[in-house]
Amino acid sequence: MTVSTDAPTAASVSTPATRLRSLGWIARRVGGGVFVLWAVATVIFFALRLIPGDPVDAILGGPGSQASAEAVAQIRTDYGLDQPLIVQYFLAMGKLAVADFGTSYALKVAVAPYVLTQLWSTLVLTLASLVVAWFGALALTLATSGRGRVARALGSGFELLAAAVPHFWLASLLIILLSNTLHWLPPISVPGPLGLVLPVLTLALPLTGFLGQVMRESLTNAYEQPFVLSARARGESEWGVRLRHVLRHAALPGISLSGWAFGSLLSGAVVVETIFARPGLGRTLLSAVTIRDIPVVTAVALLSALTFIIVTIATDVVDRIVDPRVTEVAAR
Amino acid sequence: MTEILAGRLSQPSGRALGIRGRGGWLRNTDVIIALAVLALILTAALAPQLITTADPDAVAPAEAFQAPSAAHFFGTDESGRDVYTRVVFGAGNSLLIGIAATAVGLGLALILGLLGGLGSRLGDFVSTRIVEVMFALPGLLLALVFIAIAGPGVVTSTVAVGLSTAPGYARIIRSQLRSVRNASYVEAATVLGHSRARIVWQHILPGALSPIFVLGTLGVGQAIVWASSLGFLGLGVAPPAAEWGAMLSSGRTYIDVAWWLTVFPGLAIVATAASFTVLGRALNARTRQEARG
Repeated sequence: MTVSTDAPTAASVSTPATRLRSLGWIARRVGGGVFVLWAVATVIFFALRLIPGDPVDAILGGPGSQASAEAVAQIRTDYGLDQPLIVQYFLAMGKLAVADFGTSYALKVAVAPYVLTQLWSTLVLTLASLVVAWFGALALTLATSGRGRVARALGSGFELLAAAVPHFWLASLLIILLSNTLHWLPPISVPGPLGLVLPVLTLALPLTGFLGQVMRESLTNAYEQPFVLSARARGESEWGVRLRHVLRHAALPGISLSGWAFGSLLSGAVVVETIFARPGLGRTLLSAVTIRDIPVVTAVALLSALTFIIVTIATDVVDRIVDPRVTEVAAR
Repeated sequence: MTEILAGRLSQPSGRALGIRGRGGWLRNTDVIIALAVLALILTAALAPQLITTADPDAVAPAEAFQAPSAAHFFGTDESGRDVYTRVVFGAGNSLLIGIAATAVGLGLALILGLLGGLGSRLGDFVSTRIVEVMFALPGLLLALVFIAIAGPGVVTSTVAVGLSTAPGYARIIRSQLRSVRNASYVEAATVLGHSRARIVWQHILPGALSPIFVLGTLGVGQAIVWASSLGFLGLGVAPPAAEWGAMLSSGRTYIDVAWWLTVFPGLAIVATAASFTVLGRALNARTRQEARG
């Protein structure tokens, strides 16, 4: 006996034909991603050459260094900076194509391993924030939407203010309150989970506001759907309706927005890592741009673009699993 | 039970966005509060002398680091300057930066969006790829690189914020243009044999671009937040000037001794940004209701 459910699962539409289409879709997305990476590398390459000043200064440790003319010429040859720009460009792209990120101008270490350790720290921070914001927004909207006036006003008021809070200000407030006054948490990001609490809260709260606003809208729309009416008519409890039928709708925009959210978290990470003196991609980027460490900036830009692309593709895949309508529309 | 259901069903979805009841959007408390806050900030921006009599740059070292009191509502900073006065005088700078940055972002997005929404297949392909690349770079990275090229300052940080908000707007404008392009009234104009230029000018653009005002209103608040972040990183307005982000940046040094240097300029930013959001959403709900008839 076959049981027909009102919401088709992803498995039920997975025929060989759709699987092939899905493969083609993923291949197109990956191809697009490679293109974006190349474009990012190109834009960064030329943009960084527009920054006033000589890159040799960055290598020698700032314009104040009193290097001899021969030393400068030597470095120019060593780093290939005496070549015409277009030659430099193709040399750089050739190296990037085989994941050779070169040596940091300022730190004189290989860029790839250095940036990768920074990436790990930032990934922990941003992914933890994303998860916290996600569940925070979901809990907040499920608990306060479709309720009385007061609950709704409290919920949306909180979302509104949270979304308007600048990261750096929130960080300062949390430091004043939780470290300086209550002495619960360290004001800088010490290694270990305790040092992660303030940075994650700082990044997650504004995002909770944004996600909550969007989820609330789709939740409110979901309450008007016929399937909610029929669920209520079947006598399901209020929370049963919320968790079994409406939740999916609240989750959808949250998932599709996660790619965007991740991008904004990377931007926020620059500020948060600076304030909490936490090692990471953001702080590395800020100092590398300031001292014009071209290989490091390029690597950070490419890595964040790559992470962004992966997260976007992943959210689209999850989107298709949670909401089979996406696939149907795409196939039509 | 049915009554509750009927009530839920007949609820217009605009209700979630701030429209409650039939009374119109001005009846909502949140919109009224938002308008009041914005009126206050606009007054502070245009005529700060109306709200405060003090000089924002008057230094009084003997009165440094005074906690909030009747004489100094928001306390004093490290040079004894009145924080309340500086917050009032900072409104102009912050508001101007927010509005200008949004204008830059929308302008850039308009070019990209028009190319994508109305241009040829090639134009659409090119603009979509540009937007994709801009999206893949974290907004702050774009801003940082731009500031490194052009040098820190008010104008640069304003353009930088506009630059990093442009891809989001471009995507919305493009999809808006595309959906209007396929609307039945545009089809009707095509059938009537109107020229393409006339259709675009008289039918597509007005329909597609009316939400831009709403988008802009929603965006100003976020632009102020971003610009203040750049100011906080020391890349925006130079410190002695009264600008909220720069004030927070210099107040951070004294966070252990003078919390008021951090709390009040930040409150001003949050109040402004939230008010713009409330206003933008109310406008949005109203245009949607009007569109529905």
